[in-house]
Amino acid sequence: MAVTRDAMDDAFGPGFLARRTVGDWLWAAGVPVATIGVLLAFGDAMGRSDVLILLGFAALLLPLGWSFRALQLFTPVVGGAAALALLQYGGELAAGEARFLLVYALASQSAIMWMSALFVLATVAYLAGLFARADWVARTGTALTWCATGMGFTGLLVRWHETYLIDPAIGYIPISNLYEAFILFCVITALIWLYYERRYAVRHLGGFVLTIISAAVAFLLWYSFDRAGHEIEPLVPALNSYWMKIHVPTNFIGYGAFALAAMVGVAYLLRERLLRTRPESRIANRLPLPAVLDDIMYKSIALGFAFFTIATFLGAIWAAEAWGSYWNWDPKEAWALIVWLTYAGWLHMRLTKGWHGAPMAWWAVIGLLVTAFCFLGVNMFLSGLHSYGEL
Amino acid sequence: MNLAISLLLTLAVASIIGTVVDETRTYSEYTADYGPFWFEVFRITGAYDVYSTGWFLVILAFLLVSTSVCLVRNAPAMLRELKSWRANVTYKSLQYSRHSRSWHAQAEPRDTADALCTGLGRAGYGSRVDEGPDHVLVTARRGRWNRLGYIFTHAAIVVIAFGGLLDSKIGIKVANLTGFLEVETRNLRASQIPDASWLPEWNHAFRGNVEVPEGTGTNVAFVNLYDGYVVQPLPFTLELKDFRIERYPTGQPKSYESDVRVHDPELDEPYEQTIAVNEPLRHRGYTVYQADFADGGTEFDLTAVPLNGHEEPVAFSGAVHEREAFPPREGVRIEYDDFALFNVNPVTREDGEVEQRNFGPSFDYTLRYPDGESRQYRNFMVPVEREGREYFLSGTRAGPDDDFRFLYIPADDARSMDRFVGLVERMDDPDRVRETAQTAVADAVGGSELDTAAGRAELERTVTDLVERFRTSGFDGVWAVVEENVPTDRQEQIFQAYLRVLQAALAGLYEDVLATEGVEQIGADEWAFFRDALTAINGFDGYGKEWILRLDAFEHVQASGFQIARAPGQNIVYFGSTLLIVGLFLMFYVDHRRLWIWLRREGEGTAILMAGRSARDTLDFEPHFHQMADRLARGTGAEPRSSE
Ligand code: HEM
Repeated sequence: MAVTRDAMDDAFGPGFLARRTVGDWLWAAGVPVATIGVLLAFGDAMGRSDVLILLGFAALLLPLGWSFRALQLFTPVVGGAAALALLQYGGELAAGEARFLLVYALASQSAIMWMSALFVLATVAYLAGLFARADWVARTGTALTWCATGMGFTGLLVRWHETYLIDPAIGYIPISNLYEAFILFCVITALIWLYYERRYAVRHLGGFVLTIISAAVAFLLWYSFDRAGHEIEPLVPALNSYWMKIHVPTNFIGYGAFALAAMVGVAYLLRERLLRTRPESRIANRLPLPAVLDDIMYKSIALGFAFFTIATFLGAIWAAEAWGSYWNWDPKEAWALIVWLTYAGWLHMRLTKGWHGAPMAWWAVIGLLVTAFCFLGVNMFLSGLHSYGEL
Repeated sequence: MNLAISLLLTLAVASIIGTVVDETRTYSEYTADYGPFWFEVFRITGAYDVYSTGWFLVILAFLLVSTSVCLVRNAPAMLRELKSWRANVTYKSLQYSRHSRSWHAQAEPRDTADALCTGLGRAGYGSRVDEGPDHVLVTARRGRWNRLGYIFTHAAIVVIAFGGLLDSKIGIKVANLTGFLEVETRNLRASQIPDASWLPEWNHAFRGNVEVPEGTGTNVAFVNLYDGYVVQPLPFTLELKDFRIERYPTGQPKSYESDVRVHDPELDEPYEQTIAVNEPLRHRGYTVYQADFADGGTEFDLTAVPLNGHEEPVAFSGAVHEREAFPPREGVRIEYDDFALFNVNPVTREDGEVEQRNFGPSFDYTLRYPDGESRQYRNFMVPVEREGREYFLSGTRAGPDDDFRFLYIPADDARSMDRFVGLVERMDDPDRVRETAQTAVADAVGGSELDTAAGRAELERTVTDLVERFRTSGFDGVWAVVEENVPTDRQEQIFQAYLRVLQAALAGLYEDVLATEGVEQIGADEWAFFRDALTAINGFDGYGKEWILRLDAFEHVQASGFQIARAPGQNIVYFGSTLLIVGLFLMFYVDHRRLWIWLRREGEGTAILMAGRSARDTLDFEPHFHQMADRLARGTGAEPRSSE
């Protein structure tokens, strides 16, 4: 009897902690060390809420790095690049136009341009990979996506520093206007995609997901060149709050996941159509099986829905503090509810009626249109507290 | 269930309608935008306030009732499922289940079952063993709290809707519909508002606004309702001591802050606190937010400077929001509209860069004339620099829908309007104009064949007339003279000639003004001033009547706009939201999985059949099931048999 129990232990192998790799332990040590480093470097400028948010972020990062191991390399590289940029700046904004490394790579505006270019190249590589015989073409897409995402995060971190260099009184976290939100959308969507790409081994979906990111990049460039959206402007009083640091990123996890689900839906519909018209189509046969597409769509919408719910709740708490009421039926709030209802409907169809396949793919695509209106349409066509963001 | 989905989508569509019409404006603005017909159509369907119309609330109520019914019907089964081991299975049902595997183990059933439980425990499953007549059944489950997900999320919807309803305007609207409460539409002081428009102090939920000037207090708030408001009395008095706008180095506002003192009979003594955007004051269930700010009655010392030569400047004083007789002129009334301490505007510098520049204090006023005409003005207190020269800015417009048109009155060396006013005065002095006209004419025609006494007199009259025309109607007036008297083909030529003599005549007046200041050398600066002055005089025509108001001193009084709310449902809504989020995570990230392992003695050892099911049959379960089967089989020391 004792023998079988040991055998069972052997069969299940080492436990959770024993299965941690060297990288996992380095990560577990590195996250607190880096957190303390940030506290030492910037503690003077941080309020109590900032410290709490940092600690909360670090606490989330720990398990995240264990379940998405690529972050164990990605995070230090991004952090290192940002730190290098800060050293190059040396507290002088003017260095951004003088130092080689800043001018051509790490000043936020340069980094964002790199991000934009790399995302477009990644899209091209992924799409070419769909047609190419060789595997390395699509793999290049993955590599380029990682680089673009790294540049994007670096750009945001450096921009954060730049707002303080302009004037410590102006300094703010760069996720507070449309330009910055678009960068955030690009990098978060890309990161969610990179996770699913590895998890499901579905590289050939990359061209679809990166297409929506490239569309965002196109908007970003137009907004920057035509509207000078990249200019750093001081925050209006209502946005001057620690709530922004959690409300906005949470929302963009939702938006990113919804966008990803919609593009998987597009892939689903395209695959189905191609197989109907040309059963031997190479592209169609390279795309993942319907069950896999379906599953990614569900996972992604579930993730987005959970985070979108949290974001809406955080938004309500914030609204109560800044505008005097947790729900004003402001256009942005009403549209957040509409988005939420759209996906609540999707989840009910899927979970209670067991719907699968094309109808759900169509629903996800329409869901993205609704989401896009909530994100952009409201700012462009409807007025309200959110669009002005003003007192 | 179709009902639930239809309701969700109906609610979505209904919510869209509400965002199409901007809900924050007044009835008169709507009428102006949509015209009287569509205004009425929108009003009757409730488009200005969709979210509290009857039909929207009916959809909400439907959702509430159906979710509650759903919950009542499904929750017991969910709880049973949560508790149950589902051990009443048959061998057949396991055999035919979607995921199943079988193998043979060395040890006898009871021991094998113990070993299996160890393995299941290692994988996070809870398990139990039931012995049947000819078999042993191991049942295992993991993540059963997933079942609470359904209950939490759906209960959350009910809780949130209930909390929201508590905080809604429904009570106030019902009071209005049943005639207990009347909407006040006039602009009155709280003490003048009839009792019929007062809410009771105990009213549990409202959201109102109130403007408090510095140095005063309030114990009411005004709740907007339809095209008017009702009054909510408060059990405490909020006194505003000081209002501040904190600014960024660039001048844009960074924060709005009010130092207040709260007087409440329930307190031993008043206390003080600062309210800022994002930092409301909470007092006895009431929350006071920094919402807005305005002028609280800034006091002015003013001088009305005549734009003619035959009146004296008049000094007087006033305060924002006052309306009174305009001292210099019988029958005219003045309304002091507003005051701004800072006016930060983008200015394009000579190097092309745009910078934010503060133009200093400005004040707005309206003059109403006996003939019913009125004009609005915005004057700046101190001269503003433009391209190296300084000007007093005075803007005017006919009404709030127009933009201000600004007059740039050049400031003299003492940064005053005196030199400019001196020039204007002389233009209105017939003797001085005649003298300067004589000089100008003599310079122009002296010695030519036109130089006759009659010709000179004729020309002098023309020049005097031109000065008068220019003073009252600018260059357009001069052009009008040309059009009246000269054939078309020579108009342009004569106009140019007229301008030259006019300028010469005015320059004579200007030299006069300079002389009184003691300026003898007239340099480039002085001539630039002269050109600016002519440009400004040219603009008089649109400016209105003969006075310009100068702000000599002010006492800044601000008012803070507060939103005061009582929302007893807020914490209920927050609790519901938390429930919703916890429920969602349970539902999405806790997968409820069950395994059944049926053991039967077979020779020396045991025949094993394992089946499994996941509530959320996602792709993950299949590989998980087979990994579990592989490991359990290896742990029981057996070669796996393929599934049947
Ligand atoms: C308005 C917000 C609502 C949200 C966000 C919501 C969310 C969800 C979600 C995510 C599920 C999947 C649960 C699961 O199977 O584990 C679900 C299931 C379900 N919902 Fe809703 N729901 C809402 C309203 C309603 C309404 C109004 C009804 C009834 C009329 C309803 C009835 C149900 C039922 C019966 C299930 C199936 C539970 C099961 O068998 O597992 N829901 N809901």
